[in-house]
Amino acid sequence: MISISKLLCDLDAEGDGLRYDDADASSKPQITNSLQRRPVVVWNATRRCNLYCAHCYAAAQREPAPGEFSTAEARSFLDQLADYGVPVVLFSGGEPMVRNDLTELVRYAADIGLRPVLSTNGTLLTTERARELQDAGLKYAGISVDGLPERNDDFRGQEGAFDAAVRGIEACLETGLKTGLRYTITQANAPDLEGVVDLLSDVGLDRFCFYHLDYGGRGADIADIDLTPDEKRAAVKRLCDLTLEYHDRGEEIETLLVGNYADAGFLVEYARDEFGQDKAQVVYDYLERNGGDPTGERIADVDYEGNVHLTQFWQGYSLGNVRDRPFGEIWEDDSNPMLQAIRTRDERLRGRCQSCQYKPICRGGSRLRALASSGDLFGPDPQCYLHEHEISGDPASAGGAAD
Amino acid sequence: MDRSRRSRVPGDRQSTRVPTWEVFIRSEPTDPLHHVGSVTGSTAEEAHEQATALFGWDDVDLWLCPAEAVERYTTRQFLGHRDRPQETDEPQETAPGVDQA
Repeated sequence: MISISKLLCDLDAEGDGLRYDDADASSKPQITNSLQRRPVVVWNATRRCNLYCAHCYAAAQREPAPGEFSTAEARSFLDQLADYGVPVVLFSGGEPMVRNDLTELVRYAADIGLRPVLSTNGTLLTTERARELQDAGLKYAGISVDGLPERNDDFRGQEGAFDAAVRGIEACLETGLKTGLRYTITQANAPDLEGVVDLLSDVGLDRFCFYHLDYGGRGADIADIDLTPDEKRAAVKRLCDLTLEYHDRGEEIETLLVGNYADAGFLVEYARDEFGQDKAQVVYDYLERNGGDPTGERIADVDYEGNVHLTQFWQGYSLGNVRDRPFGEIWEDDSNPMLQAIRTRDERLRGRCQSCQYKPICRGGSRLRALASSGDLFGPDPQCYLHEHEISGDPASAGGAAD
Repeated sequence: MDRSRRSRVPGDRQSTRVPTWEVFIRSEPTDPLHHVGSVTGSTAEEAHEQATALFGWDDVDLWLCPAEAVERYTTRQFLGHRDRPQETDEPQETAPGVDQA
């Protein structure tokens, strides 16, 4: 996760310590005071969902699935995370709001020292539910919207889903729960991006997370509507411009990018173009501390059956199951060749990634996309949109980030 | 640890739409087989392809076993390894229910 607003506009956020080892310089209360050592864990608390979204990485279904944790099992699982020192657990799905023990589990997570946060489609959130979850200790709700009403509803497979999600956002804002938007950018909804930010910032939302499409679950089925690298570059540039425009007007929105660490190199280039080399160096230093793509290191996923994955998008491979071994033991098992390979990927990357000047802040981007597109786990991420001169650092052929 | 006190690990490994396969590899001819996780695949061939892309670079042997065929027994206690909860461990057959409110 890369914060445009932090890197370009110096906006303090609760994640500064966790993400950039910059807690001391931040005026906001911090998730952690030091750089993240243990992974943030995404927990697909259920496979069941009340919607059927075209891009769902978890391939969620409307029917319940066998094998989901009971309440008691879920508590034991949360104990494992707390014992291992996991800083944040993200209740996800499916749609986590369909679990009728969600509030109880959020409260339990908070009680044992985890920071519970929620990823939801927002359509089941009422003011009452939002207040109940906040009282239980929920710290943040990320609500998915993928376009203006018509496009969003089409994508999510249900008419009225946009309006219901906005009602959910309003319910959270009314109770004072920190709330953000999650928006997965594809060719289908890229034109709506600015409209959605404008519309939701009018509602009072000030945190916007933009996800690149990863090729897992149903996301792999719609890889053909992923933006081309050039379109991706244009969309990210527009987001940077938009963030600066909002901040210039005194509206301090927080904007974040998720799922494509070519963004890291691009932000350095963008900072150099807009603010000069000193600022570019500051941005680079933050991103170096951040550590590049977090797969298998700073992010983990546990699905509804207890299988541990390298990221939430990579559900096709599991390291092990928490019903068999505690999460920490699975995550620390260096005898697993896949885990070992992913954690030493810097030395295994091939093609343009191998000698890229931004390798230390990107680390090859998405290994899942590389695998899905070419079958080569350490080949280049097909969605890297950096230009050759940016990869090589050769100023002879340099243009601007806006090229 | 009393290894005679292993109990069956609960959980249904057949519930994903695409079948899951446990993967075992032997890196060197004299090494034992080593469990390295699981992959999904509609057929053994597809699972083999998946596993080969992830592990099978130089391995001597790669075995796949349908996850549903594996009965797992353990001496560990998943439930209540910290403090055993009061409620029974009934699976949520009707729950999680959609909150229509």
